[in-house]
Amino acid sequence: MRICQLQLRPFRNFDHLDLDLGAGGALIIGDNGRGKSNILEAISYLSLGKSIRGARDQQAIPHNGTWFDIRGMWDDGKRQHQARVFYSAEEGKRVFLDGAPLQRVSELVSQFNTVHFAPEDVALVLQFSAQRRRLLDILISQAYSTYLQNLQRYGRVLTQRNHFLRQLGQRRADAAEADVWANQLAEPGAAIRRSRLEALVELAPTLTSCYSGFSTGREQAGIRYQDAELPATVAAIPSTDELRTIFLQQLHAEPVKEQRAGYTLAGPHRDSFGFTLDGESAETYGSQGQLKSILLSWKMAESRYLETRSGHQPVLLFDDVFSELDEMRAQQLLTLAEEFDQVILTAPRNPGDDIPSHYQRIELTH
Amino acid sequence: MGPQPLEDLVTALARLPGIGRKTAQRLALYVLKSPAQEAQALAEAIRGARENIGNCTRCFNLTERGQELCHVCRDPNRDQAVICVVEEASDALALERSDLLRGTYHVLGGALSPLDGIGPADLRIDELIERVRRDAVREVILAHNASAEGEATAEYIHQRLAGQTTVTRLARGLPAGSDLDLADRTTLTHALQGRTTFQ
Repeated sequence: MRICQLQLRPFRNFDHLDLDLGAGGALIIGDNGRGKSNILEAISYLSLGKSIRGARDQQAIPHNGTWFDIRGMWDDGKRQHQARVFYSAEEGKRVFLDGAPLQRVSELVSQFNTVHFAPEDVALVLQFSAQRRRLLDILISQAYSTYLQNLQRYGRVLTQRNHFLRQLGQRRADAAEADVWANQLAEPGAAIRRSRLEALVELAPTLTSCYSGFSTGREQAGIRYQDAELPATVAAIPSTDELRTIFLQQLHAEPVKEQRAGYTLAGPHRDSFGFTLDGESAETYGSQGQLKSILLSWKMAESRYLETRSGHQPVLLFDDVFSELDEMRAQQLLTLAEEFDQVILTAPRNPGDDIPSHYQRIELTH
Repeated sequence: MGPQPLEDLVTALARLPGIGRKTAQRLALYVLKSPAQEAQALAEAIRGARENIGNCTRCFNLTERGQELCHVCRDPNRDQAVICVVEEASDALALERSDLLRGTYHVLGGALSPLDGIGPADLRIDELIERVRRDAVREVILAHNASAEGEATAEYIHQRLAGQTTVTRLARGLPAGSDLDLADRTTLTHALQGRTTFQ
């Protein structure tokens, strides 16, 4: 897959931007504050319908403006497609695919897949469990539309159940109602856990092999979910029904504690997912260099996963990777990226010969 | 800012569901431009509806004031042993248009939603259970919305009615006359999951 055109009218610091992107890689060069990251963010808006940085839509509107409007065209090898994401505080968000309005923003997800890497990910993702879950959720949503539906349903029921728990002290407890909210939560919850385990089992071997390329040491990288080792194969993952039973047991395990807390204590929204080095927690014991290698390996594993699942290679968006990476890792990354249809890089200045000449140079000058 | 009476009308209209400030303004100006009789008739219709419509004592659907039962509950040709449970009276109106249901309705008055402070006691669920028991109801059809709240309400009622009667629910899937390639994914997923044997 590759993006051929991007139009911003406006978006963040761009009043008006037209970008034609050729086949192969592109390198966006510009001083800090010129909007390099904003271009990558705009591209991922076309893929996710929301900000990859977790920003609210309102924040992407230029200071003097009242809306933003992103249009893009991509080629999936067979056909060209167009998408548009428009947002104004007054009208809300409107999303179009090939000219037709979509009823839900989520319908855009999985049409045009991207993998995004930013320098802040190293600190953010490796430090916070919630950020790692977000990473995983964005990835699987791009691969399966039903996953996003389950996430949305889960989020809605979770809010209701938490309110129910908070009201328990104030009104007559109704055992049947408590069961209902647990059951309603268990249904999408089990499906989410099953999808996550499937994805992680599939991603783990790529992560491990990429890591051995990035790392200078001999340690082995791996993944753990809910503080346990991953099942060895997809066939070894418990069925959705089994996961549902397990989840229901967790939901019924500590009623008093839950009522006191006023929120749901167990479930996919709190499951831990992290990385290991020789079986030990990488977040706790890994060095900065090791963590960078893990994250890069994860990004390559994401890319391979999306390629296998959707049948199309995702577009790789690498924001300012060279400032974060030493030369060895940067070169390793570029070599791996060569296998993909399109890579879009950003850098504050022209890195010269480090980047192959077939990368289209785009300079942001004003 | 226009004259105060106009502002008052716009504000009142803008409170209606689905009406924004701009539409409210357009409606208000239309009312002002229309003949006095027409505007009077509208005001009269609103007042009349408000004063002369109440709830059926059996199913809580809308009924004319003075009539204890709604037209469905009064109809001797309707099967009192089949109850179709809906969230709002508007859902009953929609089902009535299909002209297929030979049973009666039960309007819950909403759906379970702790977020809005709505629990089972705030809905007419006890009344439904009582009806099922009293009228020897054969079938309860749950015609809830496909929202999280609708699903939860349906499951709750299903639990409460366990062993007392047959509980069914509406199928979910493709709208009639629609193009398959225009259907959204959620609809397609339900249509596939709920597929039936060709007859």
